[in-house]
Amino acid sequence: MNVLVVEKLAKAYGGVRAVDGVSFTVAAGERVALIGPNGAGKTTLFNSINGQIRPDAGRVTVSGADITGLPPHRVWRHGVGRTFQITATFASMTVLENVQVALSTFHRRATGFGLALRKRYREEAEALIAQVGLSDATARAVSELAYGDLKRLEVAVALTNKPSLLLMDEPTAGMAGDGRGAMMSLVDSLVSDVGVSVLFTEHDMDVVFGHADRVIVLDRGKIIAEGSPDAVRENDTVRAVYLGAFDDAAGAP
Amino acid sequence: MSFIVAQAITGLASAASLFLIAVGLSIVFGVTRVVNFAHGSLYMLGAYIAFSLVSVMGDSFLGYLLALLIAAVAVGLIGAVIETALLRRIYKAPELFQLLATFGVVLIVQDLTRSVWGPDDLFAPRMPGLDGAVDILGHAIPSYDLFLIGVSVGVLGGLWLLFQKTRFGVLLRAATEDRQMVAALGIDQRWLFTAAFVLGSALAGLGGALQLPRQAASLSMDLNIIVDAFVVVVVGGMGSIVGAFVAAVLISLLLAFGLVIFPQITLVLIFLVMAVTLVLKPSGLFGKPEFATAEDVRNPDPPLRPSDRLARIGWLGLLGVGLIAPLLFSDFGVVILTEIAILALFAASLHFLIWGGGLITFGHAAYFGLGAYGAGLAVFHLSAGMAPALLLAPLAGALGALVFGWFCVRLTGIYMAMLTLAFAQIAWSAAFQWIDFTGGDNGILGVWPSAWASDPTTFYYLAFVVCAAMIWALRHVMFAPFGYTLRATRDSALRAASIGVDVTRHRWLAFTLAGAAAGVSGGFFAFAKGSVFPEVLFVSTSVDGLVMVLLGGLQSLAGPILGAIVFTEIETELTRLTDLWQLALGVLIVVLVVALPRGLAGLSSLFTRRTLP
Repeated sequence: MNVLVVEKLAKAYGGVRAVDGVSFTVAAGERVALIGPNGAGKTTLFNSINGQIRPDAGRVTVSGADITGLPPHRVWRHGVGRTFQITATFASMTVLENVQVALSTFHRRATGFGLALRKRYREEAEALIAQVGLSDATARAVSELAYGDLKRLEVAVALTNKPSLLLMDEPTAGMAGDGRGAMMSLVDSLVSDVGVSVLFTEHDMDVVFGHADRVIVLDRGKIIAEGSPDAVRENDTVRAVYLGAFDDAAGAP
Repeated sequence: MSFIVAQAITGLASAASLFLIAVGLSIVFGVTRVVNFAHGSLYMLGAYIAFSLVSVMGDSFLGYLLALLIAAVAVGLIGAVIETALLRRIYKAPELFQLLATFGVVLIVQDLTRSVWGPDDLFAPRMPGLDGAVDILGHAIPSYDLFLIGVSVGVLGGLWLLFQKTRFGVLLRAATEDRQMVAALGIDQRWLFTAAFVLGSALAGLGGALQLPRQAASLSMDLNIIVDAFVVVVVGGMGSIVGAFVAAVLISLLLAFGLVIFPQITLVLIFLVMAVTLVLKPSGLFGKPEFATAEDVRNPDPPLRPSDRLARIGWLGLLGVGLIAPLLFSDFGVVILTEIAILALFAASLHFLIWGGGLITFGHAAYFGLGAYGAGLAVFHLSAGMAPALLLAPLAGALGALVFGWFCVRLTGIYMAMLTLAFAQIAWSAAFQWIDFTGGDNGILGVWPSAWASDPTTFYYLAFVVCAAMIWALRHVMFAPFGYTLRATRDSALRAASIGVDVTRHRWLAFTLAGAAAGVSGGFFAFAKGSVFPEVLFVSTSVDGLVMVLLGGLQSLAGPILGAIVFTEIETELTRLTDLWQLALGVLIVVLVVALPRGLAGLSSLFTRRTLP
């Protein structure tokens, strides 16, 4: 069963076709990595799926529902969680409150005037915080958190709508080596425990080849290769366009 | 046909001054990113200084011309003083603080101008050599109007040459397009900012001086022109010279023809043009979109804490003082107390938007005033009693906020501030012009409380209980999911949208809620004063509210209440002591913004830790 179906998606800026007729699917419980050189169109593709950008053409379906062109807050209702390359959290709240606010929208109580937020959804929020390993920081202000913990908090917030699909834009960006591994094991455990599918972009090839079930390679808005990590690694086109460019830049053979 | 031509020429002549002031405003904003409220004051000073010079040397065409030019230069120099003494200190402050500080300058310049030139309108002689008229298609067109059109085209050409052909102009353009780049190239930004401000000020001064032969120099010139100039700059696009020119022409023609076709709603028409432009193209006709987006991530507030024991004692103490106070004061004292209770609610509703939602409004008077007019009109036209009139007040405030808010919440930052201001001015001009319905300048009189509440102490308790309950309710909402979600949209609109929050709709609801609360306080205000005048809708009422909020400290829930107490006290004492109340208020605002950005609540931190931005 496919959780995400993207069909012939296209978005152009002026004359530049940032995303040029891209089609792919993500199956339930699958981890799919979206890679490609800078400017390949990864972020545009991501933003067109979650609604920050309205695509020019094509169709996006999540669990059978057409979400093409819906604004982000409605895409979220269809069970899509999102984390950002540069973390976006509510800086003037605690870790707990960040999750509680998200839960109040999920339970359709965002416009509630009654009971104080801190008395609502507490156990549910604490469970999610425990799931991402942030229990020790529950009561701390977000502005005091280390960057890796902010990334974890984003995951907890993204899980509040019990998503079938997580969109993670560079989940390990800005983290050190240990942090990257820990973050990706968290992602792995979410997939196996909760059964969520994950579509992520990533620059770190160790992360990509170690944690993706499937890899999609994007270049100049088009998919140039798709398959298992091993197959993509051996693909000549990919080597030429992507790894080739990388090798040249690094000065290695 | 000939009539249209004549009317168009009159419109274009008015466009000249409007262009001069708007282009100055736009240049200053482009380079420094400060919207200078005091730009209208510079325009006014241009007219007054030119008046004095003309009376000495204005006997010949050349002498008159020279007088106008010297006035422009003099205003440029005044601009230099303002930039170095004040603006330089607030370039990094939030937009709200910048607007407010420059409004402080407006107040200071007002009172200083009044003390130097007196309160009366000053009529200058017409310009020798241009005091006649030219016959165009059978209509007598003042030759000075043609001169004005020539000057504005000349200035546009001169500015174009300056910006395209000189190093200074290239630097100005570069700073407008990419400030960091200019800094990286090793340009002294301080000098560049001062120069841009002086240029903008001189243009405003020239605009004011050039108006002298057409209209008297008066103390209302500053605010009248600045609101029009805001409209022009916003419609044309902030930072764009051509945009300022096109929009000035557009607005002036609209005014010239609007006056003939439907004089009653001319002002409304202009603001509608602005509202529609902003909603369709938020950056204006010729503006660059990047100006319109600003996510504020500076200095996040600490998380909200429910009241601890000390805070609870404080709140109860405040409540107790409010209940006991009228027993200790004379009737006059009780009247002041009533005003404090009412204004505290007004300030709290403003604080709810600004601090709770990061929604920068410069036109909150609209909803306060609509509440006051709602109550006043109910009494005047429907002979309603006090109770139904007071119930109508929040509905009027909420309805106004619902309609205006629909446009305003689609914008952020400085654009939102300007649009809220524009809507408040629409409401003000409607109250002012719609004489049959509102009584215009004469206001609505005889809005007295019902017999059972006519005793000042009884009325005080009524106002106090209702306002205190509303303030408590607003505070409660801040802690409820609604308030947290609003805070969430303020902290990160991006994240809020990706957890399912309809950001625009939520802001709109908050705006309406605050409008209703302001309406309640406006309704009580009408009955407290026994009358309603257009001033309740004027920008100065909005600013009073902002000063109260800042005075009490933006980051404290008790802030607006303390601010209302201190503000009303200062106002009552100072108006008794001096005629220069505006000057004092202006100085207070400037000091607040520059030295005490966290309000009186932040006063203690001055002596302990320096944690200010």
